[in-house]
Amino acid sequence: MKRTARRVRDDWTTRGAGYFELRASQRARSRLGVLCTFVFIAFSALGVRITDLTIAVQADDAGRTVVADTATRHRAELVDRNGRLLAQNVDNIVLAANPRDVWDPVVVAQRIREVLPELDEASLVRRLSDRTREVVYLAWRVSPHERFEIHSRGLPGVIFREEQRRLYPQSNTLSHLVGYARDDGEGHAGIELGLNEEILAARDPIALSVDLRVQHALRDELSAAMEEFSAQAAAGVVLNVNTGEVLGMVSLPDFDPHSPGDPGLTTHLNRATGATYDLGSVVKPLTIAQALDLNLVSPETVFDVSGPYEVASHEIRDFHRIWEPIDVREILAESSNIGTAQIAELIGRERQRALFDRLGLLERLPVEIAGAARPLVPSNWGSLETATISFGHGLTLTPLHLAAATAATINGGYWVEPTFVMRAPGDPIPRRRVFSQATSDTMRDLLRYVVTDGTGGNADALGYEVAGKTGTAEKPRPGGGYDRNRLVSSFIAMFPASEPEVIVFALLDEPRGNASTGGYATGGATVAPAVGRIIERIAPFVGVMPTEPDMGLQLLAARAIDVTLSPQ
Amino acid sequence: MMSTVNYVLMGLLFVSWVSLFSLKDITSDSRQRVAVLQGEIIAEQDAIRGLMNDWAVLNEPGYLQDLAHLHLGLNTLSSNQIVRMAALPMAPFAAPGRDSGTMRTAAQGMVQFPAMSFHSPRLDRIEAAEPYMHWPQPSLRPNPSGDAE
Repeated sequence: MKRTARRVRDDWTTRGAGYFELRASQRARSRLGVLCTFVFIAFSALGVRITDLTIAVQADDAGRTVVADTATRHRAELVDRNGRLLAQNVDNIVLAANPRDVWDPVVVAQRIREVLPELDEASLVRRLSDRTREVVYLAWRVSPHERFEIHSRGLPGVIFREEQRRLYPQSNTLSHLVGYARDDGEGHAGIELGLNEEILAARDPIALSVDLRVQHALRDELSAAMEEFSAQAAAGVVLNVNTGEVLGMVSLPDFDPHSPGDPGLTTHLNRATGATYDLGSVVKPLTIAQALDLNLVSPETVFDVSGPYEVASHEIRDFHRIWEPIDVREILAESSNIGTAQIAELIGRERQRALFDRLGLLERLPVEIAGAARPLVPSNWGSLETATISFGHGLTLTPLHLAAATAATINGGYWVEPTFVMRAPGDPIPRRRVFSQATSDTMRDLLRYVVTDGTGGNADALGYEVAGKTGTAEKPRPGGGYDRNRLVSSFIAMFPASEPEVIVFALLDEPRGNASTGGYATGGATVAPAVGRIIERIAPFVGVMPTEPDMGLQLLAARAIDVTLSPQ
Repeated sequence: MMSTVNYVLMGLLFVSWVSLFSLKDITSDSRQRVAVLQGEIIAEQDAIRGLMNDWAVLNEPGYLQDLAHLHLGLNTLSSNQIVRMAALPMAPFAAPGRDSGTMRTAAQGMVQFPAMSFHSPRLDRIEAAEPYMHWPQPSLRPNPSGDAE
């Protein structure tokens, strides 16, 4: 700075005034030029940016709309295989209050009731007076208009909370299958828990394999049977034998997913996938199928089942004593424990255990639903266990385990992994071969014979060629042994027998026989009729048409059409 | 020369200023409109979800079953109430010498019905006792010429 001043002073002393004016003018111009250049560049940049904002930003606009679209959806909707709504989120405004800020609970309650007259005034006053709490909830669902009305009254201490609520329009019908999510937005049971991550991540509705119509029919008939036979509980599974899709799954008693209560309640126990039972004679088809598959027996092979059969110092008896030798077909039809134990002895311990392993009966099923139970496998699988397991005692299974395993005996011989999520057409179906096609064909005949000539006659829904097997198991006593008066009665059915599409398994826990069953509480007497009715109701929904049309009805239908079409 | 450039730059400056502020105005207007629209979209989505939920509740199978039973006297379908179209004894009504024909249905208009699939002695007996006077009617016959009737 000093140096510049000295130089200027020197210039004044050595040069003329005109020279310096010219220099100053030149400097000013050059400075102005530089300034203009900067201004030009700056505004050019602004112009470019404006153009960029006005033209190039349009792509972002679409993104913003999507954000608005998804901002409120925390959990994806769940729908059934036909797109019917099973669970969805809705925005919810909750009316609450901080009692410490409420100056007069009575007046505030009255003001609130001007907008929400359905609320009980005494209850409101009581809650608004509870100064021990920071927040009390007054109404769980108020509309935006009601919120505006209450807000405009200027009530100190009254607050609103915006929450997401999970609604289950089918209520109890699918409580165990769908489960429930709590207000924290996390799944706590059923599919809501099992597929929690997927539901939180998905943007589109998730289609489950269940068919709501099938589910309702299953629940309706099982509820009726449970009531008729005063059973403690009931469970049912409907499974597509070729794809492994669960079309219906019921556990009774059930609960309302909107107010599930304590998860430890017995109503929360999913008896179809989360509880294991000694299922009894419904396991016999697996033993027979294995013996057929190994060519150890044929349907005509005869066994002597007349007396008690001794295995490892234990006697095995039949429910009804059969005095004459009977063949394998009759062993299944009459549900002979002695005959089945003899066949199991031919199979042997190792091969039996290997088969049960291949049928997924020794492990927890790899299903999407939370709380799937692990079968109770005997620690010592000896000759006695081989005999008892062959007719369904000593190895506890879930109903879904049994349904998936039995499907392998009649679907061509494949164990298909069960699933609660709908399979898209063309999706690979995880399955493995367990039995041969010939074994499967024979088993269809044998199981059809059980219904036409054996213990399962009550399940024979007209026109649907029902095949199946009864099961009646005594429940274990706490101190050891089995209790004759506490039964688990069940029935497993498949239809149509010539080309099975669907398998239905149902059980009643501790049913009581009544006059209509002659006092019997067996599977054939209590569960089989319910299964027959279930099949009659669900067959049209799963695309199975009756195969034995009644000629008289055809005639009536023809007459009806004739009358309709005839000109008056 | 410089003054001209200055004037041009000042003009550009003014134009840029006006453009900038008008764009800012338009942008803030648009942003406000977007916010309003987003609010409306969210409200509409809520309403749609509410309606879907109401629809699902009102279509709950148990509820429909109770309504159908209470007000219409309907019960659950049994298998003997289901008859295939092809299984209906249509053929006896067809004109002699014809192996197929058409019938009018409300849903599908004129449809072809199959050739006679079976003989029913019981039907023949009833037909002999009560001849079907009105079948086939000219208007229900196929129109081979394709002319309008």
